[in-house]
Amino acid sequence: MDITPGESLPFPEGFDPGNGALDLQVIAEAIDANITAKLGQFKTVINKAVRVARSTAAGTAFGPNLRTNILGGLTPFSTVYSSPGSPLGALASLDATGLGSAPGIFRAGAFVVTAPIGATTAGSFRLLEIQALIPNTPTRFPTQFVTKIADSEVYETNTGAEWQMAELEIMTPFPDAPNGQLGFVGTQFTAYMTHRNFASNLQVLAGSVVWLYRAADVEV
Amino acid sequence: MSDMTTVFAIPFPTGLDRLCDGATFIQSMAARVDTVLATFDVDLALLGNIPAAKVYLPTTIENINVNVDPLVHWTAIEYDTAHLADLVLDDTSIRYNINGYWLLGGSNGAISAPTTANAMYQADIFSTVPLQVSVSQTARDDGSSVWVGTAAGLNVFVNAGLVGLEGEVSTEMRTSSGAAVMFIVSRGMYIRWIREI
Repeated sequence: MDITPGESLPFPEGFDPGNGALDLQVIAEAIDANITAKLGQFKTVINKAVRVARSTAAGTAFGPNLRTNILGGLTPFSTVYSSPGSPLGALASLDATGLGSAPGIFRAGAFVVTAPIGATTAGSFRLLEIQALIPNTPTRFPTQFVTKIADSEVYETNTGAEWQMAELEIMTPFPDAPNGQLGFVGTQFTAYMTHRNFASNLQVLAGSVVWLYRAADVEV
Repeated sequence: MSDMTTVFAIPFPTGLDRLCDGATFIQSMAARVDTVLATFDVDLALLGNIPAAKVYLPTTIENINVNVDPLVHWTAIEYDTAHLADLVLDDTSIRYNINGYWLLGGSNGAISAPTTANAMYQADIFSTVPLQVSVSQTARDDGSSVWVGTAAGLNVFVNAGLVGLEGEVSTEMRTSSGAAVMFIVSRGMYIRWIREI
């Protein structure tokens, strides 16, 4: 028997004892195993991990000129969908836990509806920031986190409520803890809101949505 | 006489072939299947390292004269998996290098001095392949803040055969404040390959 150079498929050589049925069975099983492995790899790279959460009620209002983490508990977010391996019931933060430890490009975003709980400051701005903290090592205490931010800013349009969206795309070599690495928090994603509605505090309303997904695999 | 399958041209013996040539047929079939499966490895390799790049300004502020050159001149590459960004050759662009659908976008901020209430600020992340496409966002100065942010994403169809002509993505900043000098507080600009045409 010999094997093909690329995929190591077995085939009989001219001086092998003739047993056509067995020879065909051997190569058929080798092809079957090869295709099964490739199909699994295709499924892995195509069906990438994703997590989506939605605010279920208006959150606690927060004051102006304060960079406020809207995923930090002020607003109740609950998971709408989280792909297998990322079983989060309530979304306290938009981290990459369960989204794979291999290097990748991740996309995090938020669609946020905000409104003052009292008087409106006409023309005041509302800044939505999506932030990623990327560790430089997959260890419990990385020596450095690189900060990446994407943002969008809107201005109050005399109706009080405003709708806005921002998305951040980053590459991280360490999105989640590799097997056996205890205490490593991985890459952390957060959504911040800052406003200048000085006339009253601002709250995030129900129906706001945040998401995080592995957009692509990359080699580092 | 042997025949072959329709799609992948895998050879197989037919009734007129000799039984003693079975080993030769199996070898031919193994060689052809090997070639077919190897093409899947090429696809998996591409999917495992998607062409993508992002450029940014690590010092966060760049001064540009919007009346002379509104393009943002990038100084650092955040990541580049397929040699898409060459800031020595061109520090304003990321270039496509294979056919397909690409996602482009970014996030930028700008300020200008002095503050001009209600002045418009605009960031355009644009590609000229194959059509003039742009993701733009405007915001205005509220008189107390001079910070303007933009974020954008867009799918664009690219024939990379045009690379070298206008096969690139760039960012421009504009303002109606009347100020000639704008300070760019940048987050970055990126492109990512989505799928084949």
